[in-house]
Amino acid sequence: MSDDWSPEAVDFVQSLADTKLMLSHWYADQAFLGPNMGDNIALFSMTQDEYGQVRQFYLQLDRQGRDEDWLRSERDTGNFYNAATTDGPAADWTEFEVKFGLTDRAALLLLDAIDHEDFTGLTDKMAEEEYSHTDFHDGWLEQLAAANPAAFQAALEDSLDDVLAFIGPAAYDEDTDPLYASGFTDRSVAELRDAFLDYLAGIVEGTDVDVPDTTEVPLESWNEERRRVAAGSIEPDVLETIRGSKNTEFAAE
Amino acid sequence: MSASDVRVTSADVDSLEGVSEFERRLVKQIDEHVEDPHIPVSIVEMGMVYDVFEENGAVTVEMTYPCMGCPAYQMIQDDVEDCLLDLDGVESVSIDVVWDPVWSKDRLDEDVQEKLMASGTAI
Amino acid sequence: MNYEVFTRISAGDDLKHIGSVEAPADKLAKNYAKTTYDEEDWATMVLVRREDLVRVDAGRDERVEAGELV
Repeated sequence: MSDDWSPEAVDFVQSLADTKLMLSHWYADQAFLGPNMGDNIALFSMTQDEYGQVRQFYLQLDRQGRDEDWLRSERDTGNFYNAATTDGPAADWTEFEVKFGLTDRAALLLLDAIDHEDFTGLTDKMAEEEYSHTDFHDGWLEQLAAANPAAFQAALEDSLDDVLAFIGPAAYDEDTDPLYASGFTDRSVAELRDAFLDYLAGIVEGTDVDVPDTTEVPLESWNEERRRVAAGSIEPDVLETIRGSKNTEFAAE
Repeated sequence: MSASDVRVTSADVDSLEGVSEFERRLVKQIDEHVEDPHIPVSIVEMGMVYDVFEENGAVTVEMTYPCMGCPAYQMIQDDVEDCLLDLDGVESVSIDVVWDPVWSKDRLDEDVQEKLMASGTAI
Repeated sequence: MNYEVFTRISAGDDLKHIGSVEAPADKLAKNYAKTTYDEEDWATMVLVRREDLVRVDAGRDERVEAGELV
């Protein structure tokens, strides 16, 4: 354990943790609904993976002074730094895969860029677990882009800017990205955005879906803590569900 | 902590190098008392315990998990702590969950793999 | 689309039919097969589209139905 994390690094890790917490929640929410039984099995498994990763991120954050009790049960919705794509549920399966599948991929790119001794092994293990997530999501994204291009295009236009804002502003290159400059990550936001857009181009290749022109995230309107431009947050009833407020009597001691 | 620091590699406690007599007893205690909740082998046999060291009654256990989302995450740690506190000479137990090296089934000895096969379990 | 799942546990074992998955495309079928039939560390796992099974015991063009395989 070390105490050389910058304040930006602590916010960054909280944003990853909170995004994964919400992915876990929406995966669980969908896990009885298919589309197929094979999807339910995958969704339950991914729910558990994400939650396990959140637990490890929270332990790291607690050591950096971001109290675990506060993270788990004391903060309000505005103090969740989750990607804007994970604020609410998806209207249908295409939207689910586009916004949550792409957010899961973006989160993997971000955590894989962490290059700090406190994460040695930890992020390798996470990337290992995420293999089944990318295998699942890529299978569905390719299928839906080919079979249902209009709905896929609409969902992509709704979500892409929010996913990219979660990765960060394009203006953060190797000279200006504070996480890269401090050595916390080994790739700048600009490089991670390019990697994500390359990946997305591969998903829709040969289909009628086009990657929409992306809006540059203006640095002054980007919220560094919550890694988004948009306002908004999870709803209070969602907060109550992820905290398990109504089930405290069943919690293990 | 890195791969070269892993001192506890299997249930064959007596062959452990650089581990004191008392530390061997601690490993044996975990091996005898804490089973993997899914399968009939101990967490030592599973290669989940990377190190156990003791200083003036204060015991530190470094361990890992095959899955980060293990539902028995806390239960296993509680079991390790409880069984070690039962031993004379142990005043306190602290558990560090570590991920380096990342667990893999290569950490299972051949006899443990055979035990798992016999029980109809695949890892 | 329906896919039949064939596996062997160790090299040299007979390849056995162990079940089936339904998926819209090969890539997803592979994902479902891996996650649904994960009780063994298979040495071999292959999928065959049910529509590609060729009947030998009766007329050549007859479809093979799921119930006949288990």
